[in-house]
Amino acid sequence: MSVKPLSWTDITSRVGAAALGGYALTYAFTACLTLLLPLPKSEAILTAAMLSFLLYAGAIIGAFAAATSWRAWIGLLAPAAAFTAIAAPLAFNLSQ
Amino acid sequence: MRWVAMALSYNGLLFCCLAMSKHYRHVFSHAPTGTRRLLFKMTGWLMLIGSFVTSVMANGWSFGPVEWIGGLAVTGLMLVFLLPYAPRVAALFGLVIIPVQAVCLL
Amino acid sequence: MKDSFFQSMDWLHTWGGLLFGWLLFAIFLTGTLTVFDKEITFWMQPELHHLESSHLNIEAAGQQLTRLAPDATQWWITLPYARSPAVTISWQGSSKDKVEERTLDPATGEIVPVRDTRGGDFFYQFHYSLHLDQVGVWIVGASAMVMLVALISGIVIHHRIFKDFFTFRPRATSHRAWLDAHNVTSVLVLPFHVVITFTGLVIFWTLYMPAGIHLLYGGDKDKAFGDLERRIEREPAQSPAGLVSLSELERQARTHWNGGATEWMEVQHPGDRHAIVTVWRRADDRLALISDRVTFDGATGELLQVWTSELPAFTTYSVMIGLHYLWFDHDAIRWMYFGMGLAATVMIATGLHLWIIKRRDRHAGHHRGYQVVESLNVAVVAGMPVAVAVYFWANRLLPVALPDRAVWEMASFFLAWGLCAVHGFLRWNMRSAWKEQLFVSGALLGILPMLNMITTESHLLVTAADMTWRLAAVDLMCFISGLLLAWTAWRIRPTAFVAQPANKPVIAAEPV
Repeated sequence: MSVKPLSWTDITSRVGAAALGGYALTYAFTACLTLLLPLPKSEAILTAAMLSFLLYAGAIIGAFAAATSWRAWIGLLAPAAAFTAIAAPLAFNLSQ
Repeated sequence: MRWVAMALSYNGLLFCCLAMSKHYRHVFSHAPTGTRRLLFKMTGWLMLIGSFVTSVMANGWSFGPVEWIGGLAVTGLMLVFLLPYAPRVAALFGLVIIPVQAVCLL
Repeated sequence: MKDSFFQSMDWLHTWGGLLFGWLLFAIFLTGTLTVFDKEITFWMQPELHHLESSHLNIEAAGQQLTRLAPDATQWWITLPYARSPAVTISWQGSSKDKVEERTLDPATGEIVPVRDTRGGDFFYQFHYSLHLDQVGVWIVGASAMVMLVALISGIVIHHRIFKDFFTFRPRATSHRAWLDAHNVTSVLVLPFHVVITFTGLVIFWTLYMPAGIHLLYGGDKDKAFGDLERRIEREPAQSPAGLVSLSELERQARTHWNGGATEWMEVQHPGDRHAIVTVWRRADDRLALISDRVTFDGATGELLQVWTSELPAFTTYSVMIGLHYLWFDHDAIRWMYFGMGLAATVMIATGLHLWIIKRRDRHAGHHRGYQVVESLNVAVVAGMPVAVAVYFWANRLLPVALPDRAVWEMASFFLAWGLCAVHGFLRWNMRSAWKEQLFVSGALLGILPMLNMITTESHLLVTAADMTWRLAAVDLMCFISGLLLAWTAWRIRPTAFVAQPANKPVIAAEPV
């Protein structure tokens, strides 16, 4: 069985990735989903919000399952950036 | 009706439990045959489905499933805590509540 | 590598479970008590025990409000029902003002002087905010996320989840027995744990996950709620007008509901030409929490809106929070939630204890960190029941006329808990610490019905005789819990008993 490195830096990094990176990913995903769902505004925000908690749980699991703590951060921040990139122009359009 | 659902729940779990050799041996002091195990398993599942149906009949489609799940948890915990201390009592209890419920229904 | 996912989930479950376990135990215990919050509140207000909710006089409630709060911007009237037989009227001057409240006899509308107490609401507020306002709600939210992750990781690492579905071996080695107890209270009750944790998070979605509100409503929560709930609100006209009969409006509202009962009424700008009266239906016959309502013009009595939840996502949300809040009228399910909630506290407590046992077996001797963990285990798992018992004792013993009485009751809870924490940290022998605290809570809860007999007239002999089961049940549950806690204390051996494979008992030299 492989033994995972359990240094304090590794742990702190993963906890940070899970808590902050995970939240960033979840926020970006929720924003994206809210803007993309073809539903009335009130329905969209609720649907996206309810689903978001599942994603956050998955993100936390992912942060600790990743092979290295770098992968944990990238695995969360890269999709977060992608979701933000999709959501940003839509949000900009809305505020026009 | 609700007590019928609970009785079926308990018995369903009991039969599924006894379908496993290690628990069967606690109650009957000998190993179960393959046929016996299959029979117990099928009976158990049928009773669990029956308990779902009776729960919905007693409570409607919104409360029925909720009460069914709660009933499974409660009867399950009862069964699991009885088994190690008094396995025969756990089994007999299941047998007894069936006729009791049948009488209540009439 | 195949195994490393298992290992990381094992690590996550162990450490997430330990670090948040104490908080989660407190959250689940207070949540379990909140299942019967209305019953506990009623029990803690003996002045109301003679009330019957049969006859209801809404006009009288309205008159009290006119007399007490003629210039208020909002009035509320909470109607009585089986779980809470008094009428509560409350009002607010402006949005910055504190809400004032009075309890009325439902039949006569007379104010009933009742002792100042938070009742079961104390546990409710502890449960979702740890009495730390918004910071507390965040901490509880974080704990709930860790709980979700602990449930998922727990399933991943429980290899034999089906084979061991019914396995409980109390007579096996200590580690095996406690692990079985932890597994069984987790797996058999798993749907409850998952649903209650998830729905708990959903309740506070506007705080935890407000991305949608930021984007679609510019961060304006009021606008978002306006869209979600479509309430009718308007500014006061600043010109006086009479208020239509409240009991008449309540009666009219009920005609729209197919036999439902009214839960509460709200009057915006009473006495103004732009007054609005809203009547809410009691959500007691279905899962969805956010209930139907009828809105009238307060000055003319004109029907303005009949609202019911129609949109699918909103109804889903309403059902989800309904599954958590448990406001529907279904005693069997209520008792089941109570039982499952207790199972959750046992799951968490056994988990916390397992952490200690596993490490004690591996590293004999005292490690300072383990001592801290075990002291915390005692302080939380054994200390909280002591605090709960003291809270009930304070309710019966504190003088009724004491100023800030409700605050003193809550202070008693925290003082008792603090003392237990100190005891848990100072006591060198952990087994004795457990034994002593469990015994104290057992004794306090067990004697509570007798204390009730001395201090009130609605004690067990009376309530059992006239079948007021909602009151009798509180006494009985306290008594039974007391017995169980005391029995557990009695069962704890003062020193460790280690069974050797050859069945030769060896008594450890020092408590392990």
